[in-house]
Amino acid sequence: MYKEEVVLCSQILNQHFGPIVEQVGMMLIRRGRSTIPYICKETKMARKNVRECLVVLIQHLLVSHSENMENGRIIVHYNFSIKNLLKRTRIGMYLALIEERFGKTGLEVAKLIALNGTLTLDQIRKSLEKETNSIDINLYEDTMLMMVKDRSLVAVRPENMLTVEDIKQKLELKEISTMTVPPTAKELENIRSRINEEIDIRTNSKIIVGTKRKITENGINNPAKRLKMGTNNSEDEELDPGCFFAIGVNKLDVLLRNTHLANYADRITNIGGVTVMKTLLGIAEPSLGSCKDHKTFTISTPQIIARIPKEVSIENMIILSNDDNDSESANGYYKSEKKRNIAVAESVFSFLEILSNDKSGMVIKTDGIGPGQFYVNFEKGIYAIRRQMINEFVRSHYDEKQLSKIGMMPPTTCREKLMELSLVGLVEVQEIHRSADRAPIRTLYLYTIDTNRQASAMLKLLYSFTLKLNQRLDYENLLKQKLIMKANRNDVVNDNSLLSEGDKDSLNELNSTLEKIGAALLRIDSVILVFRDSL
Amino acid sequence: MEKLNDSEKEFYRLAGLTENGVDLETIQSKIGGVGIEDVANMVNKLSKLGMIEICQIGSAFTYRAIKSEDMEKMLYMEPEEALIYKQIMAAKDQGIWVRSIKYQTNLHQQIINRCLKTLEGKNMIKSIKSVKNPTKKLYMLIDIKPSVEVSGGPWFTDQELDVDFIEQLSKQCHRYIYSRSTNKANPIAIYSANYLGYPTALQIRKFIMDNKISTVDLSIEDIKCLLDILVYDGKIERLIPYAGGMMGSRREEDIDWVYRALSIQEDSSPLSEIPCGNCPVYSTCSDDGVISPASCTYFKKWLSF
Repeated sequence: MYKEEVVLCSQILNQHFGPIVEQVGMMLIRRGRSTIPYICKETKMARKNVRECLVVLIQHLLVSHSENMENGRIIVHYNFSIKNLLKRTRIGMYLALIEERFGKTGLEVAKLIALNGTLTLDQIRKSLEKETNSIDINLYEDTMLMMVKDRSLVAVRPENMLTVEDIKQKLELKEISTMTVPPTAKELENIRSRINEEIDIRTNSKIIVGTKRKITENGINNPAKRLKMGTNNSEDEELDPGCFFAIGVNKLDVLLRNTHLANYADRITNIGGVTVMKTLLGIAEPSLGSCKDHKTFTISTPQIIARIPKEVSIENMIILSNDDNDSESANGYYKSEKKRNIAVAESVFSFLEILSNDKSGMVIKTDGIGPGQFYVNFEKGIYAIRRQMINEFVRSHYDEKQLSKIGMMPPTTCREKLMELSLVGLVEVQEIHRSADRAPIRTLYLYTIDTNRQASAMLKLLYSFTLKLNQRLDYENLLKQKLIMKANRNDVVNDNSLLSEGDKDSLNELNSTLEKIGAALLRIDSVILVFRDSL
Repeated sequence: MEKLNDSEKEFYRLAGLTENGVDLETIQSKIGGVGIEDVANMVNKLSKLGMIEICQIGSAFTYRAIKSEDMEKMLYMEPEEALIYKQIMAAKDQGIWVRSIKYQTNLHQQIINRCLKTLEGKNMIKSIKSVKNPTKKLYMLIDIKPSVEVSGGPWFTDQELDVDFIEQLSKQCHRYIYSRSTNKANPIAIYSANYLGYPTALQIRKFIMDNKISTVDLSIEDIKCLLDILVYDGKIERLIPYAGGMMGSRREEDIDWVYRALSIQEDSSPLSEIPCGNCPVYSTCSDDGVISPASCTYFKKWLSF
């Protein structure tokens, strides 16, 4: 864990929950698993305040708890999830994605849940009714059902409130209790590996939780019961009122990652390639629960062709013939199928060929017969994007004029540049001394690149940039604190004329500054997604 | 030559046949009726006249003839000068460092300096600086062109990297590849995977030489060097030529790569967009230090832009 990461956690806690919750949260981050008395002692806060802070953090899925028996007493330990906290900087992007997919209704529901952390259906209903008087609650419920099925909203289960380590411990104890004699080391190892597999299956489960079948009057003769599994029949399902719902960050991260993959396709092809890539990912999307999936299922070319949006004239994005003057296309595979648009089909096929020929290995062709079948290898795609991002950063960060000639640089200059890169952590240096005195002149310097270390160095850099942007954001807010307080007063909100022209100008200036910093923060977060959450 | 008898003339001829000269056994077998003493006398006489030099290969000695033009040059030289001249001559187009001359001749530094000055004054040798070690002064014969390792090849002018020349050439290379990678009638479209029109390094070299873009003769390796830079810059990409699935398993060096221009995108890395990405005092910046994001002038400039 980097120092920058800890400071960033403190900033996020302060910005999202205020200084008191920050104190409790930071104590848990620094000290690890702790009990309430210990937190009280460390933070010098009242027990009541600590409990309230913990409730807020548990509600937002930032703290998990576990009950352990110690000396005949049940002790509750609290543990902080840094991973979930760092993802909170992306809430704006999540809400924008939900709005794009589910419209204003989806956005309202998501906003409400993001504000409260986890909510039940009843709680959401009540809050919505309070906000707007004439609300069509059915519309919201339908949207929510769609969101749950899409995994943009997820039901929070009791095990989500426990840490993985606690679950492992409990399962292990359960297994051991069934045995008559204490397990041997080998047996214990087997038990542990079995538990790990079980947890992996549970966390990557594709089963949607939070919905249940509607109760109908003639339940036994209901024909819907005979429907095949996976058949979309939302009329027979409804949300489980007993479930708590939270924003499905894992699924939304998948969508954000897919955007990066589509952008990468733009770099190697054009808008036509992006359309094909988006379609390919779109078909596989329902099966992707989180970024842990390494690849999509195999998709045939006709499947992709059938889903290509009509508004993109993909046939104009690629030249199929080798002869520039020849308007006839070379690929005659689809010529027999009159119903299909031949040009579109051939173009899609050619784009897929180009994407699968790319050195990144992001799109892979599995079947060489006919138009073939394809799948996306996320691991390779993300590695290619990481490489591209590091290249872009290095190119713009260091003197480009010099760097572009790296192949022809005199050794002294080249050494200087390599040293700069190694200071950031993007290049590794190994020294081999040819004499016992370790004189630099008689030392061989071997330079290498370790992709994992590079990713860590980039993450550290990204956290540090986020930190500095947040510090500037706080400073800008502090500078105009009085003006902000004035603008937020109820009378000023109702009557804007209470603000002078100078105040209005200052507010506009502040807004544009905050907007600029906010946009930069979001852009940096998109890079963090690639380096931290995409695999 | 007139002073030499037949055996000595034959000795001189034999010594000039191969690059490494001739050894004692060959002399005795080729020239009939000469004993070791005769050979020793011949060697003494010829070396006194400056016509041969004695070389040592391992433990064996060989005798090598000195060309008549070199002989004439060395005829009026002092023995030290001749010794240094020979060492410089042996270094050929690689050149020789003063310390190496000292090590090989066992002469005093002052004598070496004096001789080098004299030889330079006579326009027989020249001093050059190596690209690899710009502080080292190398000596070579006046009429020899320095090797590529020493001069740096076509990319170096006066031992300095010719940045403008490289830039101009890479621009031309990119322009040519771009023209072959885009369709004039439909510039937004790209070619399919089976397109055969992407240029190879050989074609690019031909384009540069035909259009007289470079006055220096560039080898295919030089062009590949330029293309590598463009690949690193993300302006072009290297592709395996389309062969309709008939590529088989070929070694990388056997592949005649083709080059495709990539759509040029502005370098808009989010990291370099913010002032911290290019800040020279980034490492000393902290929230409570003298340099902090609150007091940062770069931030001020960026926000007011």
